[in-house]
Amino acid sequence: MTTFAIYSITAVVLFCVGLMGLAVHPNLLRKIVCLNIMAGGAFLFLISLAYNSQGPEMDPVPQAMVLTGIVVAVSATSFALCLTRMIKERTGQCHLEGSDKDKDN
Amino acid sequence: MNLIFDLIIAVCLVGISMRIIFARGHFQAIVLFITYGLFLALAWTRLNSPDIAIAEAAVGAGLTGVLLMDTLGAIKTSEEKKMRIKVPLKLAVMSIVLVIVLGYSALQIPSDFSGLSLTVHNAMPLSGLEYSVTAVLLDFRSYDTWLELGVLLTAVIGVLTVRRRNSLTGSALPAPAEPVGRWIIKILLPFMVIIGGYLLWLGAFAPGGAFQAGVVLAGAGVMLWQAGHPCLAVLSNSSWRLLLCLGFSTFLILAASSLYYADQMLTHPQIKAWILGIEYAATISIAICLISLIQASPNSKLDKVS
Repeated sequence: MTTFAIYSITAVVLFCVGLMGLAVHPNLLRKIVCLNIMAGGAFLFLISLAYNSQGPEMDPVPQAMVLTGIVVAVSATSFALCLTRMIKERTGQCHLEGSDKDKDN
Repeated sequence: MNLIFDLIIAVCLVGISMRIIFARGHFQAIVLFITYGLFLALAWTRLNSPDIAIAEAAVGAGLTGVLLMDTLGAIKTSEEKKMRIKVPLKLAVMSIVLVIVLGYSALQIPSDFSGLSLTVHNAMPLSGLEYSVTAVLLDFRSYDTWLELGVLLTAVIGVLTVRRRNSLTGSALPAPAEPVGRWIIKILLPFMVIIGGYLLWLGAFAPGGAFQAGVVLAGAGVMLWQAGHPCLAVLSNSSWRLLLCLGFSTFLILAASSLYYADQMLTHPQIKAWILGIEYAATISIAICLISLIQASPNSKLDKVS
């Protein structure tokens, strides 16, 4: 129970920290890093659930889902980074239009 | 004792994630993110998931780190100011409320639920495999793995489209090979290939399998490419494309052929060759797709010239 409690709470905190960062940073690169932090939190929560489950062994389905998820996350990240490069090349800036970049970046 | 270890990992994870948010420079944030991935890998081993620990250490920390660094190099401007991150009070309050609500509901989850482990345990003899995670990945939920290979392939195609390239072979060398890099390759590459093959073979009965082997081989490929070793450039463009699609198309062929003798797709007869074929094809495709994702994005100057 307690290991589950520690890791599930950590997962929730990581998710929310990532979400907060996603809102705070105007820079697209940092937004992508924050998305990856959120993904880490979601994966951690799934696996702590599997760890907590009662059964003949640890629940393998969430483990398989997270393995798939890690590879999907890196594909999505690389595509997002590629789009970021494209935006940088086209506009010379690394943030989306409308975000108040001038103040902080 | 274990609990203290858990607490240390948890505190480090939260601390590092906060530091990533408040880091002033992008470079600092990326280095911290790689550290975050390594701490997550520690957490996976603590949670009895060595499979995910291998994948996380190789992909989450390694390849994502390479991708982020690479992009940082491309988008960095010389007059970049160190920014001070300020979190608005409203946002901070909202985040804390969200942590409390989600954390409270997480702790309400009953501890006596068994998930799907019993179902998987009972179905294990049907799969012909001995290790449950591999059985779920390649047999019980093979749709997931199939579509995941599709996502990887789509990402590669997407990156190539955005970069306006139709060939991956031209970008094989980012830098001339240096003597130090060559020595490191000579020492590390055989180990990485052996570890990859071992993980693939191990997957049938112990932690390991197509994903882990694929990401370790991808790491080896990226190392070769970063050090400027010419052996990746040997592959011709068409064979490169063939290897990219290998995993997805193997699944497609097997799914279509299974319609001949069964009502549903991807139901397989009791032959080891079926699972083995899928596993090897998936490993090669995962490795090649991940290498391509890293190779495809840079060298925009080189593209404009050619």
